[in-house]
Amino acid sequence: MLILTRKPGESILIGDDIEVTITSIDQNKVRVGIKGPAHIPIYREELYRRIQKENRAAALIGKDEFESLLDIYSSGRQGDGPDRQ
Amino acid sequence: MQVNTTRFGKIEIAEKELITFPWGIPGFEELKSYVLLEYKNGPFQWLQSVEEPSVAFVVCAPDFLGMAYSAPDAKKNLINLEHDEDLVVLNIVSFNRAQGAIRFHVKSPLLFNVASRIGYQWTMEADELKGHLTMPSGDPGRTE
Repeated sequence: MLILTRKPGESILIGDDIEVTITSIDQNKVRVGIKGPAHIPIYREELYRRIQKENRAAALIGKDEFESLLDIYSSGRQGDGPDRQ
Repeated sequence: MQVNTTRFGKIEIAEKELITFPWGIPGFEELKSYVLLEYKNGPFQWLQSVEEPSVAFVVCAPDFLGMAYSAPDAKKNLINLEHDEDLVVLNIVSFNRAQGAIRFHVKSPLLFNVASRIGYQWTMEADELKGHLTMPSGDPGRTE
């Protein structure tokens, strides 16, 4: 991994179109500004990992399982409504 | 074109039905091409990978639960959205075996541009929930 030392207000360029600026630092937090092309999504790493995990679990659903889910639903035994993420 | 699926066998779809996810879906980044399959009369549909027979998601429109999203311009740009009426939002739905409960993945809606057939999964930051997600009336926006 490339490690660079930067001061608040200084930036790093990734290629010529992505600019990462250290905007402020305190004891255990760094604020980072990111400027890049509109078509590149940017994520907080831990958030992305969590969604990956949830998606992988969701994609395991079988057709029979889904149909039994619908049976539960249509018979009105779904309890208090959907479980929120 | 013919698509192999583990759940539905071989299915025939038109090329114009394909939906492209330029970045894939988190967890399945390498899969870029999907198709939406109707299931009975709704409200659920299947989002089936065209490239991997075993990958499919159950999806449902958020208004089924009385929810609505407003996507910020940065997200609309990712799917090249030119007209708001071309935006369709669907939630992945999963099934909790232990509880026998349906779970809507509220914080990671799928955004589709139905004109260009481009899709993107919006992984919402906590601070994006406020202001971009309208919950059913009477619900104070409990999300955790």
